[in-house]
Amino acid sequence: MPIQDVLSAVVAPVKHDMELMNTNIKNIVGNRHPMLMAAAEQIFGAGGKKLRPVLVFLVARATAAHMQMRDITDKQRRLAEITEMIHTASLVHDDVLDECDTRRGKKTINSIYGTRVAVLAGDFLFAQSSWFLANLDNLEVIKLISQVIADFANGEISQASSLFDTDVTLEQYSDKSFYKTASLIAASCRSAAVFSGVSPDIKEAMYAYGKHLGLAFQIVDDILDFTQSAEQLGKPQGQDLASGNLTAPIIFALRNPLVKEELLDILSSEFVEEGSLERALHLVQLGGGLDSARALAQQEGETALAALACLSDSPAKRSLQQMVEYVLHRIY
Amino acid sequence: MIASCNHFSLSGRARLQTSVTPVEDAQHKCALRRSLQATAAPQPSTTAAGIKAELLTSLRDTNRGIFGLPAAKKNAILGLVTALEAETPVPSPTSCLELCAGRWRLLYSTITITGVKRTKLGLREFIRLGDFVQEIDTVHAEAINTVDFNVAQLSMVGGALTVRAGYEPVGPARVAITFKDASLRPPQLQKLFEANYDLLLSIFNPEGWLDITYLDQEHRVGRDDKGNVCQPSAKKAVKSQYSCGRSSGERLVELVMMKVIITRQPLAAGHI
Repeated sequence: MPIQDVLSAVVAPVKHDMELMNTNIKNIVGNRHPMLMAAAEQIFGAGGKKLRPVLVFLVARATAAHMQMRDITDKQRRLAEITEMIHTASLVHDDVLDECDTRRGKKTINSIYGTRVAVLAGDFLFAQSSWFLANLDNLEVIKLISQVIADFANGEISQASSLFDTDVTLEQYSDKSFYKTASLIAASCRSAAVFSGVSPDIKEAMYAYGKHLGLAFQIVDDILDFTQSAEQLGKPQGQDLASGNLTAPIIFALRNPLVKEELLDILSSEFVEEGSLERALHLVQLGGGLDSARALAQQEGETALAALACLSDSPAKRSLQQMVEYVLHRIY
Repeated sequence: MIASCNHFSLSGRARLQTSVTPVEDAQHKCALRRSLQATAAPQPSTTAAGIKAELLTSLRDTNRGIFGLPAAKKNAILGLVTALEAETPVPSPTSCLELCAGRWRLLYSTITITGVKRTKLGLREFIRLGDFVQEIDTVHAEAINTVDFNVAQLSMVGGALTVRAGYEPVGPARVAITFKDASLRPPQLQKLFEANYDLLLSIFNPEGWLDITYLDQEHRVGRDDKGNVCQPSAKKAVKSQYSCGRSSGERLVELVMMKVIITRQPLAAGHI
């Protein structure tokens, strides 16, 4: 099945939920601050696939079905909005820091309205989502989601403090990937399950699903930074590598004696020689780094799938299973 | 001391007279001393001046080479340095080391801080490297090396690493250098570098030998030999710095220093 169809099939059980959310979320921002309404349109308009709130709705529906509830709750709807707001806030700030003009083909907030508006918009989203979170009145969920915002910061800082550190282990990479990406997905999946009133082991399973899906997602992103061309990526190839951010493909390649010495040389010189970045990309491929990274992503995907076993069957559960396939498809 | 110093001039000026009366001798020595103080250091030849000008131009915007330069650029600089060394007006500098006395500022060195070392020392975003200054005290045979740091905070904490070393002539152009002590001020910088203090010192430790391969009134070039047993791999054009720290067997580290004339006008903008 072509991949757009896979995505449509995955989203189908929660399509209406997403439409409601999209309308609502723009109003949340715009009603409070009319000036931000235009920015809200830019931020929340069509563009991204909004996989995070999709996952929240899917877990909500899958666990609700498991508990034989009639429908998902308002709190779960609000949770989806909170998740998207937190994610978007981090993107808005990232675009300021990275001085990006476009994201997903659209102009960024900072490029249209300037840095100040972008920083304030991001702050507003973080603050508003915290307020909504508190109003969900569930301590477990509050703790889960608040932890995520701290994790974002920890992930960025740990990345900055290990640039060009060729001693970085796969475990450290995995931790950093968790903080950056998987943390939000894991916490929001578990929180969605909380509001369905499931047992602790199902909550645990939903957390595991979100965590391993999130890790697979990040590994795929990291692979694509190596493999995709500038046109496909929307930014120059190998930017992670160029800035010293060592991800799965190169961590694996550095284990291969065939390419290790030359890679270490190039990295320690920080690509000062012309053509050294291209050479490094080639060496990573030659050293089997990409193959190993794909295998790791596949493995994470399988762990995520296994976590779904405890759920009774439902369209939403099948979508959660297909989501793994969707996340992994870009690396093949 | 004065007698040995007249060998520095290529044109063989200032020969001592051999037979004089005691009074004339004293007067002559006084006059000689005064004339030496007036021309406290030798002038470069026209050739040397030309090479120097080219070298200084090539060093523009290299930031002392401290964060790495492409191999082609490094080789070009090395070529000019080598040519300059051939024209040194002072072939035996250790016999008149007082010519080295005073304050020197680093213009270029093959010491680099790149890769994870640069990250660990916070030199990407948090801390900026200022001047590298060397104060040579010929009375106590000491060199005091200072690396300035600026911490990018609101309060713009400035500080420095100061490494004190003793030197001793061991050849016509060579001095042996022994590390004496190092200090980091202010205390906030100590905290920042705490985890990586050894790394910091390993980069700036001057212990070993230094050959003074070029010396005139304004500039000085040195080459040292830091003994780390690690052979650079034969096939590579660029020396491997990662696994070795410092390569050895070759005189890899060059220092191009400029004398800082404290009483004259401030350094002009665009100065290296």
